[in-house]
Amino acid sequence: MGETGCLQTPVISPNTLQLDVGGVTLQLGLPSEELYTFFQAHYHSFLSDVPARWKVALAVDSSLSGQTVEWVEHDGAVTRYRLGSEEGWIDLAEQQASVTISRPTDARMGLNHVLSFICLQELPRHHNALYVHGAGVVIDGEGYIFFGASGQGKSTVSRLAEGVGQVLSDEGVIARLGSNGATLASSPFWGTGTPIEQIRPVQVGDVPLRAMYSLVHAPRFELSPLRPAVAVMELLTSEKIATERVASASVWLEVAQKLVAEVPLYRLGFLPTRELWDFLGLKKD
Amino acid sequence: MPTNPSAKPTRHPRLASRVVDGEAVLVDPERNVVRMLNTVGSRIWELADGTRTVDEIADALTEEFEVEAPEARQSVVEFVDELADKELLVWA
Repeated sequence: MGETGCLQTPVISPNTLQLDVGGVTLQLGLPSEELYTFFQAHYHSFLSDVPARWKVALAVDSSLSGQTVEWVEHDGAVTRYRLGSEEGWIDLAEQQASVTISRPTDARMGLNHVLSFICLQELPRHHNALYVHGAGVVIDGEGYIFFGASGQGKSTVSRLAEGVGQVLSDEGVIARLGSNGATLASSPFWGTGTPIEQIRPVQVGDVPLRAMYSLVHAPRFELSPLRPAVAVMELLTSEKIATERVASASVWLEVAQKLVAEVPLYRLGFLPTRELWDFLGLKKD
Repeated sequence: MPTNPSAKPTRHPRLASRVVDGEAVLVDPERNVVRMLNTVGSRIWELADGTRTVDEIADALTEEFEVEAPEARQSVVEFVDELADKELLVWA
């Protein structure tokens, strides 16, 4: 069980950065100049001077080192969690969050957890969009999302896309509904196992979203169109944390229903070869 | 307990749901479960909004699915009982 009691307002240090992730605006308070410099470069494309709705504080506490317990609990508008040597809380009502890690090298992972959770919550509520647990690829100016739970092949597809298209992330991207149909936008969140030198966070605005693929490792390439309700189920099972509360689930379902009406969704059985792009008819000449 | 034909089933407030192109998707955040209902079940789910009795839901199915009234009532009773057992439906 988690700790109870009042949450403390995050202390925003002088080392602050402001981000805009698909319209979700965040002010990050970082505990040292070293981390400030690191994240200034890491989130470079997402820096913003728009006044931030969210305040997020990062802290380092070496006493968390070596802990293995994991839990998440939702109490009203507040989510508290512990993931081994990382702990934090997110207050959806006050739009504040805090994450503490045991060592500075875990800072990227810790912030990714909290910031992507905030995007999961904020995008359907306020931006008619979903944060999708998937890899985003832009080919010839058109967007494609390859989604699935961990281990289903998002990172593999991202590697296979090198030289074919622009990879926006191997972990999470934004699918948005607008007056001109569905669009794809980038996020700065990459897989926590992705080597830092392979990460190229880039701010890509809305490009037309042409298709979404639910990834399945298979002995051969297979593509099956999904009925709208099945498509919603596949999206749900790739990222159930988006629906941890009834209110969150309701608004998530509302946006997902509109998204699957706009964008074709397929189940994609695939082999880890670059024939994937021929199979999908997306290979450049 | 057998379902009373004049009872009014309604969706459990613990759930979020959406009928997507005729098929209901249910999310139960507390139990971390998602499920989908078949076409007839989805229609019953839609109609079970706390304002209609089991008999009234069966009447609607009789008109929409070209089934005889006894068969429709049987389907509704079985479905509602099952979902009430699973605490997905409650009585208004």
